Amino acid sequence: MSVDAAVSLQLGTFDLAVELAVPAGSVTAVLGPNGAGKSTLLRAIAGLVACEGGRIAIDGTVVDDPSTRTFVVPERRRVGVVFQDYLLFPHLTALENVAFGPRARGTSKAEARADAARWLAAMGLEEQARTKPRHLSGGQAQRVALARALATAPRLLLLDEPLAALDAGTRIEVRRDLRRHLAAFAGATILVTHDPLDALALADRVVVLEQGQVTQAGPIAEVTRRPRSEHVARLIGTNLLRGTTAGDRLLVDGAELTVVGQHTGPVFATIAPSAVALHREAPSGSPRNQWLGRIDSIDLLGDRIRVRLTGPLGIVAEVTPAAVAELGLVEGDEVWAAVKATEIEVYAE
Amino acid sequence: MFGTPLAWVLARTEIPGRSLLRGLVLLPMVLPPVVGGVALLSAFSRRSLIGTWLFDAFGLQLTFTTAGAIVAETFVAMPFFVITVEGALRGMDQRFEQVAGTLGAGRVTVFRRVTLPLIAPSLAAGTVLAWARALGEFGATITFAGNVAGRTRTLPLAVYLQLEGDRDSAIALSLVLLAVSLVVLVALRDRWLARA
Repeated sequence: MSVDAAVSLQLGTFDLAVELAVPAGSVTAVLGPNGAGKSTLLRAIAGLVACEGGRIAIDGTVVDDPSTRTFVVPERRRVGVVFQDYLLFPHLTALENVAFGPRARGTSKAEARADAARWLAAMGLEEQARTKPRHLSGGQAQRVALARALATAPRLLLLDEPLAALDAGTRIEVRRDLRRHLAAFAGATILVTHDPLDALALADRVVVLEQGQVTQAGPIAEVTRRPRSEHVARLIGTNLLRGTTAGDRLLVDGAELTVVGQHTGPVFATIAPSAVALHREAPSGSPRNQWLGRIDSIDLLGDRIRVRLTGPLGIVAEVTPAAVAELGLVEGDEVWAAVKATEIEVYAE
Repeated sequence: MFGTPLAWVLARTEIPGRSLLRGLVLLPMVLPPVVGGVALLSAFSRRSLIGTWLFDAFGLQLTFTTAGAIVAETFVAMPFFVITVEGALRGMDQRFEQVAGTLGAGRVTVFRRVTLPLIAPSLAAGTVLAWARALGEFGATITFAGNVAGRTRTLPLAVYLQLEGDRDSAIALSLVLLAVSLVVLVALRDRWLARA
């Protein structure tokens, strides 16, 4: 119940080229901005679009390989798909929607309905069994769609932005339930999302997709601790610098920083926005990295304020509203930024 | 029976000459029905190629028979059905069919259990519209199937005949046709406008 995929196909203005291996019982999140090719990747694995190159194998069985002209149609792949807007059949009740898959695979009507009723019960939707999709709430529709996909006993489960259509309140609850159902599912799961929170909550591994290319892949903790692209850094809200090192010196765009440890060659470095201190006067004391920057923008984020600086080093600082008031910061001001060497995480490129 | 597959071919396939096929299917809509009748006559009369073959092989004669009247009316009314159903097939969200595919349904099952139910309102609208058009058919029927009492004499033909002798019954029959047509169009109005 695993999947090995190397998908390559032309996608509008760029090429999609992704390699992906998901072992049984694990959840991989494909994370990326809109239009990166995430949904197309899922459609290729489900068999709704054909690859132009590469090879897709489910449980070791090749289902798509243009070089040998192998292509298995979707209905024979045993892949469950939950689409972004769920696409429940509007003319069928919730129960009939879930029973559709077993029926299509030749189960008797009574058995399929009993099966569907069990799935709806597992989702806590006994009451909605006879409800048509247009009368279901977003959260309920999501659960029916998940039940419909799981009722076919798929080898592989594909979820396309499963939480994107839900409002913030429902999303937390549905995400928790989804986590429970994914843990119970024995096959491999691929989850496409643009929300790093979904990836953190639901997946074991993450693949970051940008412009059709994988920019980073690995365990969630590793990717969030050591991002390798601007996009990932922005998603998780940290500053990513790219420079070269010599000993404890880090050169970034002409600015020089002191870091901890000895390094050589090109590196990435992250600085948490909360580790950047802002001052009106050039600070004296322990922080050894300081420079003068200009305030580009000031945004309120929850109970913190994010101050974006331009200058020798573009960076985002996160400070308290009190500090902004005390320093009288406004956009266009020049301020001193200071970062302790110990707050800079350096890792090889 | 012919209309749905035809509409499907027009809406979903990419065969060469598709626009020509659509043109041919929709032709009876703009053609004077008499011309359609002449065309049918030259294709299916006992003296034509297909007509001879049909008669020799199956003993089937279309001209001046009830079957002929049905063929003539189908010919004229079909475009109304095809155009309605084709519009619905193009308009429906094809992703529903893809979902059904991922759930393990083959193409026939998908068509029967997803596509047809989703376009059911248009199927009904197209059927009624075509039926209403067939009801009023005059030109193609009289040219191709003739005007044989009890076999190919349709209501409009009867009206025309009665006009010569019994004016009152002609008016009565006309009123029946008028009422039926009006009822059909009023019942369809919302659906037809919504599609267009």
